[in-house]
Amino acid sequence: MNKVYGQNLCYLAKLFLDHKTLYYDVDLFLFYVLCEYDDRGCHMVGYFSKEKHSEESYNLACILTLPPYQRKGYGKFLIAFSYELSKKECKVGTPERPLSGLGLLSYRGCVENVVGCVLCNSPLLCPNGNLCSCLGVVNAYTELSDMTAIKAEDILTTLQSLELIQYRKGQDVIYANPKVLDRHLKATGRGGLEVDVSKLIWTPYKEQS
Amino acid sequence: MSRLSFRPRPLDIHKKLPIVKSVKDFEDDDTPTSATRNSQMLRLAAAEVEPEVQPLATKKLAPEIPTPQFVVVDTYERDYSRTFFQPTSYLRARGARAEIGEFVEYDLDNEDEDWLQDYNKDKKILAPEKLESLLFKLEVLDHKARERAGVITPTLVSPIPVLLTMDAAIEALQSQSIKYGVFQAVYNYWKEKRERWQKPILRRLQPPPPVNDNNPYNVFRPREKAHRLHTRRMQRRENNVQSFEKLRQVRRNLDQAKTLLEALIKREEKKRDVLECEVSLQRIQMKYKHETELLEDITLPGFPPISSKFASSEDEFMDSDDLANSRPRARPAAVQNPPLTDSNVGMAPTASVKQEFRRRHLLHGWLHKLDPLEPVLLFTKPLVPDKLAAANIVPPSDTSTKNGASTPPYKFHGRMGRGGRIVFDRWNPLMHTPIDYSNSFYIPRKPRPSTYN
Repeated sequence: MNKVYGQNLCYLAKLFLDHKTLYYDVDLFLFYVLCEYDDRGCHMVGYFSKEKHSEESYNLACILTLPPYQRKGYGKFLIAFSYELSKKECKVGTPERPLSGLGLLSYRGCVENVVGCVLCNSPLLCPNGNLCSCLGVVNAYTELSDMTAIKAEDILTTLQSLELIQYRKGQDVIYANPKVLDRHLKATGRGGLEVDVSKLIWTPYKEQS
Repeated sequence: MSRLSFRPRPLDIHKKLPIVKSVKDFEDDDTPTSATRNSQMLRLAAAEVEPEVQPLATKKLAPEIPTPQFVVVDTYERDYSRTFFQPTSYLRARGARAEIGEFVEYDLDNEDEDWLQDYNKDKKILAPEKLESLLFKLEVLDHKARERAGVITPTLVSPIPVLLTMDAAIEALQSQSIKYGVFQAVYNYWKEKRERWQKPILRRLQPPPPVNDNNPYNVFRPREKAHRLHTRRMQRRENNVQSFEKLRQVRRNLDQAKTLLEALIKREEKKRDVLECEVSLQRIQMKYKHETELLEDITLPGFPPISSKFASSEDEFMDSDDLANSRPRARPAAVQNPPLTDSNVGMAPTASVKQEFRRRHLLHGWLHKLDPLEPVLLFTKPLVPDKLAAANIVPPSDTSTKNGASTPPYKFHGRMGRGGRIVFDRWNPLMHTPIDYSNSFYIPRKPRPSTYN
C-alpha cells in the first residue's frame, strides 16, 4: 500500500515537473511529505524524494511545492531540511543531476544564503559555536562543506557566480565584505522557513538485513 | 598579466582561500580584475537586452499562464470536518493487507464510472461502492487463480490472461447478495476491460515492466541495487536461505577435505614407517650376516663352507617381493629365481646347507630369528682362507719384527666382492672392526612435531 502511495505521489509530481522521469520504481526511494495542518487535518504542501542509498552522494532526487503553496518559502525549507538530514548522516550532499532551471535557482539561493551567513561572521563562528578558522583563511572543501553539508563544488560555483572569488596577490581569495554579502543576501530573497533542528527526530535509513 | 586574467581559472577546491573583508586589501592592484570587468560587461549586456525582452515577455506570457479551475465538493464538510487534532505520536503505516476483507483497494476510474452510469440508466441498479467492491474481488480471485496455476511473472513480459471463469466467480462470491443478471454484467465488463488492458487493473497486482524495456510510457521499473562491486559494505551482503545453503555446502566440502587429508597423512606416515623398518631390517641383517660368519668361523670350523661354488651370492638374494608377500618358509627351490644355469644342480646341496644354516642359527640364541630366505646384502660373504689358499691366494707372511717391535699379526677380514673380487674394507682402529661394521647408517629420526589435531 505504501508503494502505491509513493507511485501516486510520483504521478502527481509528474504533473507539475515535466522533466521528471518515472523510469524506476519507488522501492529505492524515501519520500518526505511536507504538510500544513489545521483542524481539518494535514494538507500536503510539498514533498521531496531521496535515494535510500546514493552512490553519488545525492541527498535529494525530486522536489516539488504544490502550486497553491508556492512562494511561501516551503521549497527552500525542504532544501534546507535535506541538508539537515545530510548533517545527521555526517555526509555532504548535493541534489541529483541534472537540475531543472527552477531547481538550480532555488538551490543557488539556498547556498548563497547559507554561505553568506557563514562568511558574515568572522572569525568564522559556526552556528553551534565552534571556532573554525582563526586566520581568516578557510578551506572550502573541508570547513565550509563540513559546516553546511553542502558539497564543496556547489559552494565554490555559487561563490563564483556571486563573484565573491577574486584573484588578488597571486592567489584566489574569497571576498567577504559584509556590505557586499548583505547586498547579495537581500537579492536572494528571504531564506525560506528555518528548520528547527532541535525538532528533528530522525535516524539515517538502514537496510534491514 | 591582464591578458592572462581574462582566462577563466579553475578553482582548486583543496586549496585554502583567504577571506578578505575590505577593498583596502586590494589597493596594491590598480587594474581592475577580469572578474569585475567581466561582470561589468555582463551587466551592460544584460541592460541592453532586458528592455527589449521584457515588454515582449510580459505581453506574451500573460495570456498564456493558465489559471487552474476548481470544483467545490459537496461532501467536503462531511469528509473533512473540523475535528482533527495533531496526535502526539507518529502515525504508522497500516499493517497486514486485508484481501477479501473490509478494505477495498480499488477505486473506480472514469471509464468505470461512465459504464456504471450507462448501466444504471438512472435506475440505481448498482451502487458505485458495490461495483468497486466487486471489481476488487474479481481481481483478487483472478490473481489467486493465476497463482495456483503458477503463471505469475515477476515482470510484465507478455499479456496476462484472465483465468477466473464466471462460474468460479459466482461460486466464490455467493455471499455478495447480488442478482445473477447484475453480476453477469459486471463480470463481462471486467473481463472485457482486462482483455483490453492485457494486465490486471488493480495496481498492486500489476507486474512491473522489465528493466530493459525502453518505452518511456512504461513506468516504475524495478531497479536492483546495482554497481556495488567496488564497495564492501554490510548492506550489500545478502543474508538469505540461498547463501546459507551455499555456506553449508562449503562447510561440508571443507570437512571432507580435512578428513581426506588426515587419512593421507596417516598413510604417508605408515609408508615412512615401513620404509624405516625395512632399512633397519637390512642393517640388522647385514650385521647378523657378519656376526654369524664370525661365529661360524669360531664355533664350527669343520663344517663345509656355506659359500659353495654352486651358489653365488645372487642365489641367496631373495626377491623382496617374495618377502613382502610373506610366503611361508618354503623350499628355496620353489621360491628362488635361479639366475645361473648350473644352480639347479646346486639346489639340493644348497638347500640342505641352508637347513643346516638355519639349524645352526637356532643354536645361537639371538641369531635364530634370521631367516636364510631373507635377503642378504650383496657382496658381504666373508672370505674363506682355505678356499683362497686353494687358489694360491695367501695372506702375506708374518714377517716378524726386524727391530724387535712386535707388529700385530695381520688380520684380514675381507669379503667376496663382485665377480669374485676380494674386497677389504677400511679398518676401524678403535673398534678393531671394519669401518661401518657395527655402526649403522641409521640416524634416529628427530621427533616430528604434530602439525594437525
